[in-house]
Parts: sequence; structure tokens; C-alpha cells
Amino acid sequence: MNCKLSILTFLTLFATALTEYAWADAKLLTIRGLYERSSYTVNTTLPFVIDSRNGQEVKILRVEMANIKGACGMRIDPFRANVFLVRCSSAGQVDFRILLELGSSTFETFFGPISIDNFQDNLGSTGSGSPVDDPEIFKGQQLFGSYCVRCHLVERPHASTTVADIKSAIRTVPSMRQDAQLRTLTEANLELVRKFLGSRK
Amino acid sequence: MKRGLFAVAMLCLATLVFQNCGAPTYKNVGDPSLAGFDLAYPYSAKPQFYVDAQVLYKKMEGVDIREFKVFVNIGDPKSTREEVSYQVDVQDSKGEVLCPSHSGVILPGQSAILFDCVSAYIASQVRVIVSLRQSSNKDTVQFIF
Repeated sequence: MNCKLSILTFLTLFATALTEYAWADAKLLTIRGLYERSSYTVNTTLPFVIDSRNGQEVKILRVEMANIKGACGMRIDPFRANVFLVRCSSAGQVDFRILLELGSSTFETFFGPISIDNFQDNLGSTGSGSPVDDPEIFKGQQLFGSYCVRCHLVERPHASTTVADIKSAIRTVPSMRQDAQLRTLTEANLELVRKFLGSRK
Repeated sequence: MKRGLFAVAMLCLATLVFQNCGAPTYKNVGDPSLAGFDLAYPYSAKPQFYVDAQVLYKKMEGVDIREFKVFVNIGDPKSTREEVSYQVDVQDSKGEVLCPSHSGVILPGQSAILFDCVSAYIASQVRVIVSLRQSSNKDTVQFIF
């Protein structure tokens, strides 16, 4: 009697696990980026859509990213439950771990890695003036392009801007204070940005 | 007796194997700072198309002229695989034209538009207005830089 009960419990647990939480079969889902691969660049908000091959409705519950060193942001689309958006402020590879609902079941699946490239790598020269020979200034230029140019496109910070000035602006200027990406910049990063700004005298 | 022990062992094994089933809870692996940040949602309503725009410029040496490079991506979330007509306008905050309008068609599988223009007009703000049309669907998305 006890034996039968134990086996029954085991089978019940096993069946529950299979129906309620399973690894998503690659044949069951398609995950695709809506932009061309060549557009996977820094500061581009990339939409990804998940569809089921059997027409069932997909609802993304959670997306986690790896290998990004804090440089990527993610959001599930509040209007389209099967779409998530990703934007990275620096180049690198990103892996995704996705929890989703398909019909009445919950699945976990993995996607990636995808490569995020620097804007310049894909598009040729988009610098801010004459060619840069100093690798530190070049790195500073890339950081400025990734973190700053979206707000300082036309009106650049003054060439004599110091690291303390930049840190102070990140702390006090409201739009900069709200920008989580800026807080990921290290002292060394800010020094490279300062060096780039100084080179534009 | 042996069968009883086996059943208990199987039950323990099943409990261990499936202990994390049911409502799964995730934790950030390792350093929480590696988990990324919440991205601000760029649309105020359900988007018919996903659109992204970036503008880079460089000031040409010795003259007060700026060269703009405009990079736009358009993604169609529907699986209709229809082409999308677009027009991209680059203006300042008062609607003054900085670059000639750029228009064309995005075919299924494509997303990227890239064009350059040169402008002598110095603006403190750049607006990129992307107008889209697909059959009877129309949408306009504006970016301010």
C-alpha cells in the first residue's frame, strides 16, 4: 500500500513538473530580432519577438541577460507580451535566459549570444573630426559616442572639462542623474572622456 | 521491506529533483551590477513599428559646416512580410530643415537606413521624424537629440 502510494506521488510530481515547468523545445519557439544583424550596435534599442510555431500565444514573464557587465538595459514590451527590447551602451556579447508562458504552461529558454558592435565598426568613419591616433583619445571618443553624444550631439562640453566636472554633472544635472548608464562609468572611463574632450581644443 | 525503502528513496529523489518546480523564482547570478538596468520604454502607445534613430555629426575642419550621419532602423512586429515605405526628415526644434528628406522602401528582412547630409545651419537641437506607411497603416515617430 505504501509502495503504491509512493509511486503514485512520484508520478504525480513528475507529471506536474512536465506540464507546469519545462525547458522550451527549440522546435516549439522562434526568437528573432526585428532589425538586421548589422544594426546590432551600441545605443540601438533592439526589438526581439518570440512566436510559437503552433500559433499559441506567447507571454514573456522575465528576461535575464549575461555577459554584459552592466552595460545593457532590457524591457518587456507592455503592449506586446511577446516582444522584449534591449539596448547596450558598450560592445560585447549578450546571452538571454527567458521565462515565458505558452498556453497554460511556463517555459524557460535560452537565446544568444548576440554580438553588439560599436557604431563605428559597422558604419565606417563617424568620428567627431580629424582621425585620432592616440588610442586613449580614441577610447575616450568611443565612450563619448556611447554615453554622451545622445544629449551632447551638437553642444559639446567645453574642452577644459575635468573629471570632477563630469562627476559633478552626473550627480547634479537631473537628466544625467536619472541615467543609470552614466553611473556605470568608472573613474578611468571618465578620464578617457576628459582626454578626448581636451583633444578637441 | 526492500520495496518500501526503494519507494522512500524514489520519493526523496523526486523531491530533490523537482524541488525548484512550480512557481520558479530567479536570482541574479553573481554580481547584481551585471544584471543590467531597466530600459525606459520609448513608446507612449502600442507601436505599429519599432523604430530607432541615431544621429552623429562631425564639424568639418576650418569651415562652419556640419556633416550629419543619420542611422534609422525600422522593425515590423507583424509577420505579414509586406514592404514598408518611409520618409525621414531631419529638422531643428523650430522645423527648419537640416537635411533633405530621405525616403524609400524597406523590404521584408531589411531594417536599416543610413544616409549623410551636410548642413551649414547650426542647431542646438536635432529632430529626426520618421514617417511610415504599410498598406493602410501609417505611423510617425519623432526623436529629439
